[in-house]
Amino acid sequence: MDHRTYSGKILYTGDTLGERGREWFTVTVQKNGDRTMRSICEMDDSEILRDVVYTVDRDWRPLDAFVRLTVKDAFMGSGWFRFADDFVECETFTAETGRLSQRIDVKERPRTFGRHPVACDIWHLAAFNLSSPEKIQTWPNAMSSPLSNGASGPMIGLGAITVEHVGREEITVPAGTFQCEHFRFLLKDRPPEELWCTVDDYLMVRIRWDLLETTYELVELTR
Amino acid sequence: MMKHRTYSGKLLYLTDGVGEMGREWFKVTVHGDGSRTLRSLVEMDDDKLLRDVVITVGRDWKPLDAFVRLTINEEFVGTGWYRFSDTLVECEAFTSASGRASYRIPVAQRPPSLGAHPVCCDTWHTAAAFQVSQTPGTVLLPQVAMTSYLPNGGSGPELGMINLNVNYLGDEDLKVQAGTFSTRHFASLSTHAPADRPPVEVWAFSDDFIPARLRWDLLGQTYELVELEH
Repeated sequence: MDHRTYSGKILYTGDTLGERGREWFTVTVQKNGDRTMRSICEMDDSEILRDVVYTVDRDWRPLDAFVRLTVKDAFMGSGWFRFADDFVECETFTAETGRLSQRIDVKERPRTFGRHPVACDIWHLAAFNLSSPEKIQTWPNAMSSPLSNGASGPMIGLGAITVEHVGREEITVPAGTFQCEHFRFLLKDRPPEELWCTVDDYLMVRIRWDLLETTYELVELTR
Repeated sequence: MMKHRTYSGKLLYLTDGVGEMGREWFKVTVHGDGSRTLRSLVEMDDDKLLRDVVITVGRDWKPLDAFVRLTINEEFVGTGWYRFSDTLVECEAFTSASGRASYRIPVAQRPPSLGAHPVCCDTWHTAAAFQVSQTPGTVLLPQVAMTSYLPNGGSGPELGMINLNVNYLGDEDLKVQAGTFSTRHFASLSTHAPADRPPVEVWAFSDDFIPARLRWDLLGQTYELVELEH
């Protein structure tokens, strides 16, 4: 096989709750630059189990994705997403809505797709132009759920994402010490989400979101 | 806290006279209602095939939904999503060969199994047959859905149907790298197969039908469990 693979584990730690969830991911990067992430998330307090298989091209633009959700050990939804230059489509079946087909025309392929694993949150940042003098940038994105914990759908939502580049920092987490870029999701009526990642593979190292009083850290990495 | 239980493992694909020619990682969650989801990642070195499968079955081991994504020679082949009901099987797919395709096949009952080509899925065929009969002998599984008709699953994903004979041959203790297991031994073969095609032999253990070993003379390959967290 010619692709390279890296994998890891992320812990979700609440300020007072302690460990409140975990996420495993495996990424393959192929010779043409396409990369696929498989992610499994467990969120203990909300009892969410989420599977995501998500592929982007060499420019980190979304190609296709699969999302499956259970909440409180019961089926919530299963959906398949595909992205073209002029439309986004989703075939989905959810406990709430039954079978649904969505097709939304777009002027350009969304730069990023939010499926809610925190390893995927980081992949949004690949759309940030670090060579630009603009430290705050906005671009169109798609989401599989508008909820903070992603516990609806899956189905398509379109919006925009605004990100601030804070700077370069060295971050130490249980998986090691990493040279990171520090970014900030600027969110309307909510505290910003702080993110630290490497920019070679846009590897998630740490995320802090005061809204959920939770820190997310890379605790295992194999590559 | 999460209520599901989880098991995971790794299988090696061993080609006669060559050795390791592929590998498969799997992780299964089993839920309170008896449904279970398999995530499988397969690498087949000789075909340079990389396959992702996520499949969920009900308590009865009959499929509910699935996802398949394929690359061969580092290039995209296809991505597809499947849904199964008591009256309909559908597949929404996008492939490099066919572009966007939708398949819908009306059925009289939910298909007993889905052949998505990870050897874990081959093993789940035997679990479906075991729900019909727990004594040695042959069970016909009608209308088993398939994602590809190729032996290595290297096309599509698309939607087809086969009838599958699953022969429960008896019980055997089997030692593989992951341990020694009390297995049920099956041999399964499509009723549409050429007369000289050998069956897929499966040795599976526990009521989770975890594959300890598979053997398919057609490909000259043995598949063995080398890691297990259960």
